[in-house]
Amino acid sequence: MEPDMNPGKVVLPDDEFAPESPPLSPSMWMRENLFSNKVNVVLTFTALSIIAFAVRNMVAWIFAPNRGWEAVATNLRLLMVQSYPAGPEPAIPDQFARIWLSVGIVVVLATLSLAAWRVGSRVAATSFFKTVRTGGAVLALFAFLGPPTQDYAFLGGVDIPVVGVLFRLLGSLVTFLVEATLMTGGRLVVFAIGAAIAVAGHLASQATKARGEELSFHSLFIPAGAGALVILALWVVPIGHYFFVEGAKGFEPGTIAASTKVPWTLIALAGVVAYFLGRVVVKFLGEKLLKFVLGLGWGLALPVIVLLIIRDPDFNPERDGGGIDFLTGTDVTIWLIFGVVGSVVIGFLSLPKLGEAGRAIAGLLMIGSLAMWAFPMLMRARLIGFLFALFAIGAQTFAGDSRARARYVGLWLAMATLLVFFLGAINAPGSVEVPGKSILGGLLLTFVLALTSILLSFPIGLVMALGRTSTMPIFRVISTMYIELVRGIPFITILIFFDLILVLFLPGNSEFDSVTLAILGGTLFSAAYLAENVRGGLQAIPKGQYEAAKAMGLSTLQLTVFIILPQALRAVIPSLVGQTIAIFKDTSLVAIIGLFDFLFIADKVIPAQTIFLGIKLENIVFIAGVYWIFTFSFSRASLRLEKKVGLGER
Amino acid sequence: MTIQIDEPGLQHQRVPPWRNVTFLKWAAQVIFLAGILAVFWILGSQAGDNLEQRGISVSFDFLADPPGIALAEGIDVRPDTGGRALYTGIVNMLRVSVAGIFAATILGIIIGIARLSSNWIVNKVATVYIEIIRNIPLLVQIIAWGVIITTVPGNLELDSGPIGCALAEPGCEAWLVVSNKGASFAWFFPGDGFWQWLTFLMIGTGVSVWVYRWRMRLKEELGDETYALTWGTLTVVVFAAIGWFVHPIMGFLGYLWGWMADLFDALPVWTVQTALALLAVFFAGMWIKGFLDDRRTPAGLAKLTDDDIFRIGSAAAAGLAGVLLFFSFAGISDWILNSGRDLFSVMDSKFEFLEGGSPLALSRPSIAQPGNFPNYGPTGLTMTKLFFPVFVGVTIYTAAFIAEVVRGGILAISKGQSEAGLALGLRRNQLLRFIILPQAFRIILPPMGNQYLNLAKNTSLGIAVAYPEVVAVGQTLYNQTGATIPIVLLWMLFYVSVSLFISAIVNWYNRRVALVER
Repeated sequence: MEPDMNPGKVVLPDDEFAPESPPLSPSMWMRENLFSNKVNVVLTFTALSIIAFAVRNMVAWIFAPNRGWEAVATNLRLLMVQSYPAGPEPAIPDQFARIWLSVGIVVVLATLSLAAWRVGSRVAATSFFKTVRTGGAVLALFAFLGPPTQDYAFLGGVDIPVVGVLFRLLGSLVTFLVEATLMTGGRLVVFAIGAAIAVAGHLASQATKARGEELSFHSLFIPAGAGALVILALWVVPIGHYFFVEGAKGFEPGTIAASTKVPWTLIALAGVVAYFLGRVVVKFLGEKLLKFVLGLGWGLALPVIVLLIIRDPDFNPERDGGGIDFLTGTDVTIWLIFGVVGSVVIGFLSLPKLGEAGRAIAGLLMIGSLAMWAFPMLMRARLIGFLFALFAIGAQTFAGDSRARARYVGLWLAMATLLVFFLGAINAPGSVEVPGKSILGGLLLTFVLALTSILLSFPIGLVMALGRTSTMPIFRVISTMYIELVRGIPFITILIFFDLILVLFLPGNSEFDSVTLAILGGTLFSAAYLAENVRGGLQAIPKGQYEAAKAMGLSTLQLTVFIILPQALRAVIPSLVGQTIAIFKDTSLVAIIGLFDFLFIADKVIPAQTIFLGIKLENIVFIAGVYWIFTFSFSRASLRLEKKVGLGER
Repeated sequence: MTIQIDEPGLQHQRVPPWRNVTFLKWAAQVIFLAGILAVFWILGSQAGDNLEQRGISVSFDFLADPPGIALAEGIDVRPDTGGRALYTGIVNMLRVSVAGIFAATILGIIIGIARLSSNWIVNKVATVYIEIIRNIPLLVQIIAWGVIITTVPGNLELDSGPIGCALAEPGCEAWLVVSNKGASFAWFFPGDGFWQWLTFLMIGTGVSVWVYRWRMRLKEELGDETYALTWGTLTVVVFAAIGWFVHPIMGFLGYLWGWMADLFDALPVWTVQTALALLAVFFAGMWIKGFLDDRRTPAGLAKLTDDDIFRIGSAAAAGLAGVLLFFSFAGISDWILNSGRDLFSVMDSKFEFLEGGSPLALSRPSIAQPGNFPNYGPTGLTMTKLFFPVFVGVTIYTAAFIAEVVRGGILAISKGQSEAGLALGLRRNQLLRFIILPQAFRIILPPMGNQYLNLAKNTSLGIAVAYPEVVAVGQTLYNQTGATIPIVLLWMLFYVSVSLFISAIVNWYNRRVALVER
């Protein structure tokens, strides 16, 4: 699998060099870990009774006959993307391929990244199968522990008698256990699945034991296999939806499976192909190129998906009325002025011989760009003008020889192009029609809110952190006041402020989409927390670094950008990931101000549907699980990252 | 930082301002400040125009007007003024915060220690708890608890309650009842003379600290076991027991508080204004004096750089701004006087019991039926179905974070400390008490304070289950009156004060603990 790693060696993640402790027999293990003294005996039984109580109630609740899991199953699409047009029913053209394309882009980028960063290691087959055995046994035990309940069809399509017959084939002992506990319906299915997994895992581990630890496979096979199983289930199990006709609930099998199995299969195939393609690229062209392209890809993924794919902006909105064309309209003019002419100006300003005069000209440009706000003109022009002035001011600081100058000018040209393009895309009306007010909703909105807020807040937080650690008192006081004010008040008051009050402070009849306002609130909120994280990194830099850089003759700006920030940001990567997780969780608060996010749909929309009236806890439990899967995997990835960059080992 | 030029002829020539880094830095800061003020001014005037156009008032009149709202629970469910409604919300918020902080601390410490347990199954239970709870958004959890409490089996019924006897009978009282109306359990409530008894308890605590130190000193001198902790605990118990019967003698404090209240009432406003202004001048002067003292060398005062002069100027300007503020806004001083008087009047009213009474009284839950549906009676400590989800949600959520803080603090103590302690012959509990915990506590405290702050802020999510805390009450109020801007300002003021209060306590304690270190 890994040609450049020693294929025979099994790499255990943590205790690579630790001496192997001899395996304990089960009774010795129990005596050592559970019953070592009187207190431990009491603790063990307390913990066991807590587990039994919790599991019993959970199982009873999950498999109770009146549970409305079909509400979640039927409303999956609503939960994911709210009312994004999908299908002929609402008389709006089907645009759902855009969602699948977006998911596909993310999956391909993710698998390419796995290839580029060589994620994963070799896992011994025996230990893997033992884990599978344990997992299956725990699942079966959980199903078994529940109190007896009525018959209940838990997945719409699973035919209980068939499973029952299959189950009886497993043997008389199991049948006895089933009848003894009156385990039926969904619990039976889960018990059967768990038991089957456990038996299969045990047999496989016995089979591979003979080969020793030599038999191993790549750890990425585990998620890939799990994904394949899920997709296989879509092809096999006819998951359908519920409807309401003449006062009775009806079930139509296969609808959900039919609409999702082909896209998911294609996406999975694309992911696998991309992974092996990435491996080939790494092998023949080196990983540096792929990593650069991936960085660019991830950076552009969010705006491309949200602005271009999901919204599909119409760049020529007034084609029929003989209006403005994209090519001849303002966008291209702005691009020509700021991109092309601006590149020439920045190239000139970065000439080393210009010296102080270059800074003076840049200062005048900055004054000019600020003056643009006093006159009525396009907001796009103002924003680009401001960015241009910032680049002009930096020109003397960052440009040295001709290569550095070329890079700097290239960076500006790229930034200007992207900015003009994406601002144009924001400005152009979207051409995807949706029944609701906003095109974003459900889990998609949650993700967009979290990612946009964290990305936009990064530069603000960085500046605030620098301001707070600055020696200049006024900057320091202003940054400190901002950070402490925002950290002192709850997020919900900030959201309400932006939702209700911001409009009152803006000129004219400015109208803002409430999603935009929520993003704005989230950005300013997370900027304060991010600033504190970055400050921690800044304060961890030893003083010698500053002194050495000063001794080299670097200016304050150069010192900050080239010496301090790279070290400081590397040190705070884990807390930045933690911040991202926190923001991801905090986006659920937009449900309070009435945005149709993941939580709002589960909490307010589904319980209000006539067919699923009042079904709420099931939805909440489902979305809690989804939130949990994402945050838990983020935090696990962050831990691994922490270990990889060698942090926390000082 | 000024530019030094080595050529002797140029030594005393001043650098022109446009090349002087200090000047440029200060100019940039002043321009930036002016820019920010200008932006605020523009936004403010814009807001004024917009509000006039839309006919929305920004006045704080709603605080004194009848709000026309009813609250679901609190000290005043039918408040006569908007201010009273917000005050009820504040009390509700503080109630759930304080209860949550206590419960989350206890639960968090238990789970944090369980996470370190050598017992495999206890360890795993704690790990699973933490990994599940802290990775699910708190709002989702609160909403889930809100649904759970309303679907809990065991509706309140007058004839067959959950405890067997018919709760409708006057004598029937329970210890703990959980139903879809919330939870209610037996609790000690302060009775007559509670505050006088509390005074005894506080004096007792002070004495017991002294006793503990004395016994510890004796132990160090003699080398014998002196049972310092037992002595200290017994002192508190003795004081509490004595106070239980003789607390009326503390009634004299009531006269003292009453006298203080009269004093605050009698003081004219200008005295407080002058005192505050003098305080501002004093602090600015002290800062400048300290600054100059730092620059004083045996050879006389060091030459002040441009930067120093700017700094001194800024301090003087800040002091002057304070003086102007206190004299132009008499309301600040007035508010201080009024709240001082109110505080002492309230304290006066708590200390007027001269007859003996039981300071604490046990009260057990009962059921009453005021209207069509049975509900909890006035006795017992009742968590309503609105309070319950917020309290349980924030407690369970924050406990997961506190557990990690506790675990991190204990793990941060190096293994050598335990080994050295054991080598000295300390027993396990002594090791924990004298070596591990004092050091771990210092590490745990600052993040713990942060968690308390988060908990206090997170109670604002009660709005999702209609718990009438300050944000929810404010929202109801501005929906009625349209006074959005004042209410959001009041929220911010309130939460920033709470944050500053908690962080002030933590910082104060942190400094005290940190002093022991060196």
